[in-house]
Amino acid sequence: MASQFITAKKGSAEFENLIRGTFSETQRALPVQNLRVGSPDEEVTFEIIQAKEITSRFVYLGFVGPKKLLFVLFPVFYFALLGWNKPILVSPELECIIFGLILSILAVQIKVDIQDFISGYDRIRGDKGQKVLSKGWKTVAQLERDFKIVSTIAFSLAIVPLIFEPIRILSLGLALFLFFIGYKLGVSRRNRLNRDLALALIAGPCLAYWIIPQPSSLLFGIVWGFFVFFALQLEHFQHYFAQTQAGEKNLLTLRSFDQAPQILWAVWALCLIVYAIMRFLTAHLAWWGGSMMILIVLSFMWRRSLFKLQSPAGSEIDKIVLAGNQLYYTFISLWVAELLFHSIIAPLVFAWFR
Amino acid sequence: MYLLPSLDRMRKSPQIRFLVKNLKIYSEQDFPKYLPRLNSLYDDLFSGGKGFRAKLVQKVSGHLKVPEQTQGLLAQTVEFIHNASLLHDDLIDRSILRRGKPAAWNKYSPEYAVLAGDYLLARVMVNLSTYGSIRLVQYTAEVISELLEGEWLQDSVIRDFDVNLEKLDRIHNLKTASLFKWCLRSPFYALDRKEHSLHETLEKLGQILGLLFQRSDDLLDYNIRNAEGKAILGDLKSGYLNSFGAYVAHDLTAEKRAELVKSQTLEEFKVHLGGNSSFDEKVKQFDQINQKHIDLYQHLLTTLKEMLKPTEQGIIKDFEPLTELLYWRRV
Repeated sequence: MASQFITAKKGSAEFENLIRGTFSETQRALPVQNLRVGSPDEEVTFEIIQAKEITSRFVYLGFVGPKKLLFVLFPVFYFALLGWNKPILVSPELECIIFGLILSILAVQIKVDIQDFISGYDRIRGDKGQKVLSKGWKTVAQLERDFKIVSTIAFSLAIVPLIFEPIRILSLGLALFLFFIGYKLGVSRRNRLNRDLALALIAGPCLAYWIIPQPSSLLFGIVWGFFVFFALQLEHFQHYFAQTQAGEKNLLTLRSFDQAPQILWAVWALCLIVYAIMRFLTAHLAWWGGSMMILIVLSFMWRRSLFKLQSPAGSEIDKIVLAGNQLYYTFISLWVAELLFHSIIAPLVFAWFR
Repeated sequence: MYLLPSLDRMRKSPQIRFLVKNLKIYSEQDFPKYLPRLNSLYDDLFSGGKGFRAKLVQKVSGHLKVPEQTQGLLAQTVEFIHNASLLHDDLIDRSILRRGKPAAWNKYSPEYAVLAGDYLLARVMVNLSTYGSIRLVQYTAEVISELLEGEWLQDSVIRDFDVNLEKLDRIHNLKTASLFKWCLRSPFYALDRKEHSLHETLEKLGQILGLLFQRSDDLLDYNIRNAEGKAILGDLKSGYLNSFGAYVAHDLTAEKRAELVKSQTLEEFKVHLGGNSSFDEKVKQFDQINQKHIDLYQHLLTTLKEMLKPTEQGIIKDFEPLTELLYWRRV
């Protein structure tokens, strides 16, 4: 059977019904092409498919991927493990922070996806991104309802930690300000550098101060912010070809592809340097030396394949990004191992021998 | 009909000497007499070509009432660009034959093939700039750039057996579809028709035609609808996993994929894929994916129709069967 397509002018009642998925109970309209993007005469072509043909069980897993979860949950676990024997976070406070952060990511991601979907930016950019809307798993109307519920719960949970430490309002205020700035500057959806910087600051120093509102936690926040920024650049690197074709600006696309690996490497090297400085000040020298040695060896192995890369079009870039992600996760695993050892294992062993 | 003054002058110019109706797209006088080997190389190159792109330009131009000599210029331009890309392509791929004859680099020399390709592209710019439409010259230069970008990128995925269909589509959009888009859009530019929405629609149509043509051409490698007798597994043996290859390899494990790409015969390829029925099923699925593009193409034609003047709407009738020809290879 031939596929059915409908073209509607943006802003018309027909377009609103199609894009929001309210035109039919049994069908879904999936946008496939935009004409005259950004102009008052913009038109969108939709493919009409039967809702019963769409099956997906894990709708929300697409929104909260492991990397995004790590952005916000690693700082929580870092401080929780660091203060394992000291009550630096009381249980209800910790639980509210964890669930509040997860729901905040979910809420922000839902909102961003709805906007990218309606504006057609996800299709212009060419990469698949989230599939919840583009595959028709949920309609815009359904997700808008979910957004309201999720953001209300996230906001309610955010109030609880403020009761324990009202000073946290500083970091909440700064995070909201950065979010607003990053969002406003990225409205054209073509300049991701501002959004990346805003996100790194939010997930880094703001979040660290939110969890433990003490100036000392900012040191960890700054280091973590660098790693968040690196993870975002790694993602851009994978989509360099599509992003340059879509005219998107980020740190990597500012320069030609032959320089992109050098920039990516420079960001990673900077991450390692700030991490080395921080850990030199806070970690046991033997652990510091050992973990740095492992990271440096792995990093140079990755650098070798990174600098050999010839093309943004083949599968090699996917393999390099995968290796970069593995390096990133190795770094986190080493840090977690150290925290576990110092905070839980060593005291237990010490207590047992005593 | 509105014509740019310079276009009108060009129409009367004796410089354009080729005949449009039989699509003889160049004459000896187009190239310097003191380079006889160049002329000889072009004789070999241009004879035997189907001239599909030139015919497509002529079809569109005819409905737009583009003057005959202008039609000839456009037809010549697209064939020059296309053949220049073939000269370079054969050398890059080290293809020994072109249209059943020794490829230019093989018969003459690699240096001659490069220079002859460059010369054709230079002639394109000379001819078009004399014509007077700066937008047409600019657009043509953009298309040539895209073509070369696509060629460059395609070369970078040789021996890359993990490349996916989406990435290949991006390359083919540059390498193959750009000339199809040019065929549809250039006659409008020649008449100084620059409406953004019209060109955007033609761009999307050209993109789909290019994609379908490329995918159909890639299927020939697996002896699907291969009436023209293209060499079986030629792409794969030369280290290029084409769109159908990438599609079938996508779901395989790394080990199975490694075995698949080593296939020396189609039978071997089918065995690695799980037998004849698995192969046929994959072809069917691939056709279904492409049928969706065909349906979208037909839908876009209705959008295009609204943008054309009543006297121009014959274009739609000519465009409708193109997917049959380019993808299903039904003449």
